[in-house]
Amino acid sequence: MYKEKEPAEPYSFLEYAAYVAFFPQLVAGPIVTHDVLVPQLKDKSRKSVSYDYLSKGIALFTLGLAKKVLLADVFGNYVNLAYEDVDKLNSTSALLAMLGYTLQIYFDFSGYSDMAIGLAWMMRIDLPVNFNSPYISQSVREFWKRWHMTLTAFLTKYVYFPLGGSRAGTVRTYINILIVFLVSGLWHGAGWTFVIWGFLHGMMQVIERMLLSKIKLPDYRIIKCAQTACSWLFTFVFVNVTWIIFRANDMKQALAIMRKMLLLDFGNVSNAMMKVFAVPEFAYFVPMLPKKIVFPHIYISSYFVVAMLIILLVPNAKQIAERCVAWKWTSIAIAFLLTWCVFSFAGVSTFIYFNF
Amino acid sequence: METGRKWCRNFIVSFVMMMVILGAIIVVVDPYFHYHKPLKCLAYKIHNERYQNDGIVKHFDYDAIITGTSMTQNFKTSEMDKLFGTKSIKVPFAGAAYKEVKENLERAIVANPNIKMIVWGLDFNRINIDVNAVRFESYPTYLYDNNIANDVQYVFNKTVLIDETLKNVIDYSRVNKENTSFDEYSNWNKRFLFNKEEVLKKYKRPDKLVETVEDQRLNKENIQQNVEALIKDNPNIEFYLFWTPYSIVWFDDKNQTGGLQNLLRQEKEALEILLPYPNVHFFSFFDDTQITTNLGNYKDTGHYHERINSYMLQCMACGEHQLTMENYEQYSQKVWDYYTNFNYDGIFE
Repeated sequence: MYKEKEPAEPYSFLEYAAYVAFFPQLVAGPIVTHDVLVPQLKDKSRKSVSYDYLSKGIALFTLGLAKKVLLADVFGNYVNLAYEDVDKLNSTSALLAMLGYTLQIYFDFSGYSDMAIGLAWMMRIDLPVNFNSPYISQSVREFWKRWHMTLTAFLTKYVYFPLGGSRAGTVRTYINILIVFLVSGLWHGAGWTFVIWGFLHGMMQVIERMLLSKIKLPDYRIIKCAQTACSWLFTFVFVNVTWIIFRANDMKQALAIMRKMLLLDFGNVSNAMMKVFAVPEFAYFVPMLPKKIVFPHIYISSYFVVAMLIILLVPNAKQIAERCVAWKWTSIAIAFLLTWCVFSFAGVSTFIYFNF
Repeated sequence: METGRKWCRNFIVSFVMMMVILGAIIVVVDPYFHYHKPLKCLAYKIHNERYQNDGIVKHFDYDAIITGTSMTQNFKTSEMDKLFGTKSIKVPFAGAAYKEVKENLERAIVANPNIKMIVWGLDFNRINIDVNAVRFESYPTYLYDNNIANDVQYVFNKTVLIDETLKNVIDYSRVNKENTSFDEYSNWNKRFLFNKEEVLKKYKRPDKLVETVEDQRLNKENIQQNVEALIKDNPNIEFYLFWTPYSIVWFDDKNQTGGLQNLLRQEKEALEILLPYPNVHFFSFFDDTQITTNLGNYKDTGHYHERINSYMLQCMACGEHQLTMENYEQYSQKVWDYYTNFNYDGIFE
């Protein structure tokens, strides 16, 4: 039941300035409302250093940075190549471009959120969680409870509820959902691709509400398993396809990529695109492995397989950070990971010249 | 609480140790010669112009330089040393305009007061270019400057650590006893075929321009600031300059697009700026039409076989094809007469 809240208590200029300028989440979220942050800034017990907070903050910051630098950026290089010249793609490279962007945007965005939450932890401040394994969702509705959770909360509080939420009947609820997601689309960017992306997500949730309440399956375990698998697959495919629209420069490019996938022309990925995954640390050591283990396309396959395992099976970075600091040796692992990230910042440009 | 404190302490110690150890490996081996010349106990692969040339000019032992673009990559310093009694290095910059090459020479001259001779190929297609033109949007300028703070991009760099240090020095040393020679450095001669077919298949002949082209004088800034200034400031260094001898097909392109006559006039203006200096020895091989019309010397419209590089060095040693204030007008007239009246259509029959 939506309740009227008490008016906020007045803040001093310094408290307000500290809230607005709180740097960890300033650039890329999580979205934090004043009632979450300011009381913590005022809380005297949070003003002394907590080594527990500091250690888990360092761990989470590093995990977030690793997601961004070691995973998101690599997939991003592949995706950028694909979107630069869609005509050259075959179905394999188009499919991998779709999946690659799904992975890139998750690791990028959730990585930034982890870094923000980790930094805030170092200052003994708790920021709200923003991502909770979104790609295991079994419906688009569930997806938005796991993806950019602070945005969902923000739009729910400031758009959905003021419109009446689900209190004004079924049809009005559906309209409200569509409005919220059109707003969400526009919030992401002032372009048709974002609006259409938002609309599709809103529409799918309306359809889910219309259909799922009417479907009642027999209560057998095997049917429940099949339903879980199908729901997950459908949701995952839907999210992937709509991310194409989100990423594309315009609808023409988005449709071109979808067409490439449907051509079922499953050739090899180009050498230039495969090379993206042959990062120095792997390209140097993999040839030293026994030849039996080294299969063709090992770099690109490993990246996608490991990334999929992470998004589907591995606990959130926040959970890992909270638990891992109980063991002393993880400090060395996190130090190694941070070193690896720092060494990945700078590269060496390839000066390519076709006509010297 | 005690666990947290210990964890943080272990983290900081581990992190600092890892960064220092890995960074130290790069500083000690120094694959880009940013801090010191190559270590005698290792063999270095020299292969990356924009990253290694700066280190080479700042730390190697030499008294002569060969520089320019890809047109100079096939020069052999061993030949130069035999002809001139020098100890030379070669620092080419593929695709460069004059500015980039000049800036590298400036840094070399500051670092090494022993330089007595510079052989510099001036790309003929860059005579009239903008004074600030460069080939690429960005360069690893953190290697070119004296600012230690931005060296973090070199010292804490995964590609430098793995590809350049581990692979191109440490592993390279297991197989090779010495650094890449300057004869071999950037030399691409063995990788291509040199004949008429190869040249013509890479050439798309433009349509002949019918309209008259306006006279265009030389944009002197490029020659003045990027070449003349260096010559003027260093009277003790002998500059052996030459126009890169492109093939007759390159001249065909200029002729078809209407730019040939302006170019030849601009060439004369450029010579008038550079020839008066006593420390300039200028060479042009455009009047050696046996070179430029023989497509067996070329792999494309501009790039020539390394035997042309050798020939040019020999001419520099004996003064053949040298241009002076006394003979440049005669040379210019000869080149004008030949290239403006050449039967270019005959190339394609």
